[in-house]
Amino acid sequence: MKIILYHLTLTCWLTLGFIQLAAQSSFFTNEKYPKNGLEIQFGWHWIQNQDLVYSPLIYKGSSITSLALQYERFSKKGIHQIAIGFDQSEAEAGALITFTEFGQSFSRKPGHTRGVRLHYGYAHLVKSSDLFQLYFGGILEAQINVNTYNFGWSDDNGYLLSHSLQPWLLAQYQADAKNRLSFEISFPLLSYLARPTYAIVDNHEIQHEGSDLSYVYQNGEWASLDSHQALGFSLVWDRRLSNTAAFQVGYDLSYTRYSQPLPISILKNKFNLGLSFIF
Amino acid sequence: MFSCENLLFEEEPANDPIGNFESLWTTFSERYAVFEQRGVDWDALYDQYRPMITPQTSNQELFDVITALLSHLDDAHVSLMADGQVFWNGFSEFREKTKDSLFNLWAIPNNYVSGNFVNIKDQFFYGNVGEDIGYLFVRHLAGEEPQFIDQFISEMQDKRGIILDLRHNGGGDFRNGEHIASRFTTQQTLAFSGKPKSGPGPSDYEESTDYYLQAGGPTQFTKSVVVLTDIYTVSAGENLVLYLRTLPHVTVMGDRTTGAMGERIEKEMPNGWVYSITGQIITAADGNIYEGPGIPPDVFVLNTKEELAAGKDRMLELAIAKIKE
Repeated sequence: MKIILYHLTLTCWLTLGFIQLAAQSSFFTNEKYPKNGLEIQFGWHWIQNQDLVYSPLIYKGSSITSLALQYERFSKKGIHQIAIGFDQSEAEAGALITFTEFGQSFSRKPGHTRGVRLHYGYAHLVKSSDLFQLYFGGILEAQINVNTYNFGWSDDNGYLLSHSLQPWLLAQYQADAKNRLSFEISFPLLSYLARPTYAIVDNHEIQHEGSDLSYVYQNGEWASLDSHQALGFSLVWDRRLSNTAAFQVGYDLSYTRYSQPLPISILKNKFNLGLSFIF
Repeated sequence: MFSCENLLFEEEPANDPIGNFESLWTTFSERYAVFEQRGVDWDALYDQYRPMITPQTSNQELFDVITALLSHLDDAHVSLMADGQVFWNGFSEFREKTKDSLFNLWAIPNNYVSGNFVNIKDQFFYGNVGEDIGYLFVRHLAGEEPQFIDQFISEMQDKRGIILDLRHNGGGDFRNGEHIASRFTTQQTLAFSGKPKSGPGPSDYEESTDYYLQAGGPTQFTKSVVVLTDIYTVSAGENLVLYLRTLPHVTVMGDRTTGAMGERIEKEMPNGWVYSITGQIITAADGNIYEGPGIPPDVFVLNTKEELAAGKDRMLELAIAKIKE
């Protein structure tokens, strides 16, 4: 299991980088001609996760580790968006114990949680006025969350790998020439998820079933709406700084719950600061 | 918006004496794989022990009640790590150590080894006993893959036999045991099968997965091999015995093993205490389940304290005699 998670995490790191999705649109999407937008963000996040395969307790943690990169391509009809994101923090469920073995004192260490998310989305402009734009489209998203539980003798790694197709609603309100408020919401309709099994037995590896991303994918399954619920929500204030740049303050919420083989629930609250540019 | 724990998460067990006891008992009830093999009526034990827990139960009392409960399983893969306590192991012999002094590794180089006694990371020790018999002691199977084994096998090619000493073997990584065992065969054989628990019901198990031993490394040793075991040969050490005992040129001698072969899985209580369970049933190639009773040797023999104190390792001497047959 450790080797699976090491390869998986390393692959995600190398492939996806150190960034976190905030799903925040550029300030300049209402320009007349097609434009490119680039956003760079960082933020503080607070995470709660509970994975009953490993523990009945809710693990909580927070840190300033979020880095975000998002590219957008604007047209008269809609927005293409590619985004990549990363977050991580220590997480604890309560007081950590200290015990003695072979005359030595051992203490439990905090757990650790990491998440990487990558998405591509397209939203079509469905309503437009001087003050208000409404877009509707879809997102294709890949996400992995890895939670490390440090028990006594071992550290166990739980993971939730998901690929999902989501409807995506984006609304923008132009308060004045310099200020805009954006709201986004999405949730998965079709998902493919991979999780550890009910009982973690490392000797699957003895039979050389693999210890990399392919092994994880082989053990995934399509999820029904009954077994998988998730929600992504974003609220952003853009403050225009110049013709090519804007300052952003935003809040993101993401929640996911999957009930196989036992429920895992992950809730993330993120508060972000960022800069966006058009070129 | 920010939490809504009750709505978004499963209810956590209460962090009080009753909640902690119930959490541990329920997890065992749903996740422990070998109640039947150990002859334990877990529901009956709930009726016996649960009344001992009240909201006023102290941490020490909770520890004492839980360890008394778990002692019925007599399972080396069951343990409890509680705040401020010494690590508690569920196998009575591991706590009482009545046979611990019947093995002394250093009696072997002091009295039987000729030439060098090679020490590899304080985990593997090997040399020659008698004129033409190899000896390998494996203290445990944790850590990195044992790369030395191919050099050892190469050096032993001119020996008439090898004694593989797994007495007091503390287990570790199953794959390291397979790696060693693969150097003692040239063919593929079924070693054991495993059935992990797959759900909360008493009959919820996955389909059995078969585990085969096949040849590994540049050279193998297929002359006479004697494997020495004792009651402290546990977990991955026992899996290694299961791999080897299927081979026609291998004889297992000594005492029965611990009887804890299924995967050890750690869990936690609301108060942060950590316990472990056995999450899998292992069935040997001969169709028997040795979880609990331990793997019986082909030849039963025990050392005595008096002989060992005088430098005589009876089990080793019988192994040497077996190879010389």
